[in-house]
Amino acid sequence: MDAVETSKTNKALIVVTIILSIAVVTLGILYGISMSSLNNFQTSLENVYQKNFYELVDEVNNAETKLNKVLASNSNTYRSKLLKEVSKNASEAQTRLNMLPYSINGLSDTISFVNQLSGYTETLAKNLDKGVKIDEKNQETLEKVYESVVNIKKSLNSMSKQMWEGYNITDSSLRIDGDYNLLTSDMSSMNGADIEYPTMIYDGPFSDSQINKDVKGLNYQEVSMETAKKNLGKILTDISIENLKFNGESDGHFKTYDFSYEDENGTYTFAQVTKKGGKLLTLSTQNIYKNKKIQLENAEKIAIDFAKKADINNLKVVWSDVVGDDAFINLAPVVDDVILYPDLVKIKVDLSKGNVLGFEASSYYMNHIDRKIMPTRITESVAKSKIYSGLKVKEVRLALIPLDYGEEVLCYEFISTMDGNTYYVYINAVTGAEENILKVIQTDNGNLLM
Amino acid sequence: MRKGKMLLISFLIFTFALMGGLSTYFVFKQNNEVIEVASSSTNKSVQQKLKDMGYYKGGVDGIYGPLTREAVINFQRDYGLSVDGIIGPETLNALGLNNSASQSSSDLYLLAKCVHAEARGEPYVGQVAVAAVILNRVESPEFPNTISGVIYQPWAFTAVHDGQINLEPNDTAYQAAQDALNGWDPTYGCLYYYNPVTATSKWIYSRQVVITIGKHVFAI
Repeated sequence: MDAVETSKTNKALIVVTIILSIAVVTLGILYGISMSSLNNFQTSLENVYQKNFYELVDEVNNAETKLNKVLASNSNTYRSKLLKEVSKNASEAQTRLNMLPYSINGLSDTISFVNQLSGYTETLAKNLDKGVKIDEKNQETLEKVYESVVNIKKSLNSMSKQMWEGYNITDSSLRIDGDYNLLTSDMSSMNGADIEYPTMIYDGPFSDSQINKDVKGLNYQEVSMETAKKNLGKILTDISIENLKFNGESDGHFKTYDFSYEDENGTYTFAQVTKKGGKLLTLSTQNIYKNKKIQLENAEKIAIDFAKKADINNLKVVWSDVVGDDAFINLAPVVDDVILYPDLVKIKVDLSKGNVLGFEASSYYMNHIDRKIMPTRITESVAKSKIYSGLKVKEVRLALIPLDYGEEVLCYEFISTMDGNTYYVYINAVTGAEENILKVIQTDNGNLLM
Repeated sequence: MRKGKMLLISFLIFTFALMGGLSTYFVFKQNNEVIEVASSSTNKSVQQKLKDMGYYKGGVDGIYGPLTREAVINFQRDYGLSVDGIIGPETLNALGLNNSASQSSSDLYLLAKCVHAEARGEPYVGQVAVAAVILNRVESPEFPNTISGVIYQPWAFTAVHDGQINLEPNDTAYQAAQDALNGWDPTYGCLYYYNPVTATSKWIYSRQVVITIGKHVFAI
C-alpha cells in the first residue's frame, strides 16, 4: 500500500464518518421531535380520560347523596325533584363512564345498572308527579339501589386514590390482561362480581320490559322451509323460485328462514320469511339505478300492491318521503277509520324502475292483533280547542299511537302548520291530553319526523 | 473499489435513517388529508347546488378549484353577499345548505362512515345489519345512548380505533345507514357482530348467534 492510497482511504473514512454523524444527528432530532409530539398527544388523551373519570366520580357522589335524601324524605314533591336529579346524575355518569377506554363488555353490568337507574328514577319521579306514591316494593328496591350506588362510589373512590398516586388510564388501557385490558380489571370491582345489582321493574327507558318484547302478531303454525320459499316466490314474481337460495335460519326476536337472490347485475337481494305462518318479514336490496322517473304517487301504489302480495291488506299510506333515488313509504292499517300506527309497514321503492327494494314488517308482526278500539269520549272540535292556537290545522284523522313504553292511545291527529313548519299534534281522544307532537324536519336527505 | 462501496452503504444508511424519521410526518400528513376529504362532501353539495343554478360548469368532485371559486364568487355577487369566494356560513345559508336542523343528518353521516369503515365489501344487507347493530346499542342499557357515543366508545369498533372511520363513505354505505335509520334491522336486535376468522376475544363466542351475513356473525 503506498502513501497516496492510504491518504485516499483516510479521506473516504472521514467522509463516511461525517455522513454517518449527520445521519445520526438528524435521526436523533427527528426522533426527539416525534417523541415529544407523541408525548403531547398522550398527555392530552390522558387528561381527557382523567377529566371524564373525575366527572364520573362527582356524578356518582351526587347521585348517592340525593338517593340517600330520597330515602329520608316524606314529601312527594321533594322526592320527585330529587329523583329527577338522580336520573340526570346517572345519565351523566353513564356518558362519562362510556368515554373511558375499558374493554367493550368489560363493565356491562355497571353500565346497565347506571342506565336503568336513570330510567327508573325518572319513571318514579313522573309517577310521583301524577300522584302515584312510591309503594313498599319500590321503596325496598330504592334501598337496594342505594346500597349498590354506595358500593360503586367506594370502588370509584379507591380508584381515585390510585389516580393521585400517578395511575395512568391510557397506559392501563393499552396493556392486555386476559380477555380485557388492565384498566377493565382495575375497574372490575364495580362490575357484577363484587356488587349485587338489584332488578328494577318499571316501564321506562332501558327497562328489561322494553328489551324483551313479545311477538304478538304471528299466531300461526310453523311452516317448512319449502313452504316459506314457495310463499316468497309468489311475492317476488319476477324472480324464478329456482334462483332463490336458502341461506339458513335466524334465531332472534323473530324466527325466520333466510333467502337470497343475485341478479345478472350482481345485485344481492336478501329476504326473511317467518317460520310461523311463512310471512315475508323483511326484504332488503340496494338501488343501483340513478334515474328518477316514477312519481311518488305511483310508488305509493306499488308499495300498497306489494303489501297485498305479502298478505297484508287494508294498508294506507301514512307518510312517504323521497331520499335520493328511493321512496320510503310508511303504510299502516286503517280499521274503522282509525290509523293503527303501532302496526307500521315500511316499503322502499326505487324511483327509476319501480322495483320494491325494501320491505319491513317487524313492527306489524310485533304488534298487530285484533284490537278493541275504545270509542272517543271527546269530539273533534273539543280536541281542536286543546291544541295551540297559533297552529293552522290542515287535516284531522283518528289514530292509535304507541306511547313510549308499550301503551297505545287513541288520538286525534292534527296535521298543522305554523311559520312554514309542519307539525303532527296528537290529542288523546278520551282524556283530551296532548300526547305527542312531531315536527317535520327537512334535511339534505329528505323529510324527517321528529 | 472499497471506498465506493462504503460511500454507497453510508448513503443508504443515511437515507433509511431519514426515511424512518420522516415516516411519522407522513402519517401526520395523511391525517391532514383525511380532514380535507371529510370537508369535500360540503364542497360537493355546494358544487351540485351551484351547478343546478347554472353557476358552475365543472364536475362535482368536491375539489375547491378555480372553477368552483369563480362560481361561488358569481353567486355571492348576484345574491348581495360579501364577495370573497369562501364557502362560509352566510354563503351556505344563501344556497340553502346550512341546515340548522340537520342534527339527524350528522347522525346519518356518522353511521354511514362507520358502516363503510367496518363493512365495505360485505353484501348490502350485511351493511344494513352493521348499522342496525349500532342503533340497537343506542337503545340498549349496556351501551352509550347516542349514535356518536356508541361509535366512538373506546375499543368498540376496530375501524374507529385504527382511523378507517375517516374514510369518506360511499353511496352503498349511505343507503345502508338510511335503511337502518328507517327501521330496517335484519339482525332483530343484535348487539354484537364479529368475523369468526379474525375475532380474538373468547368472550364473543359465548353470545347467542342470530344470523350470519357475509363474513359477519351477528349475535345478541
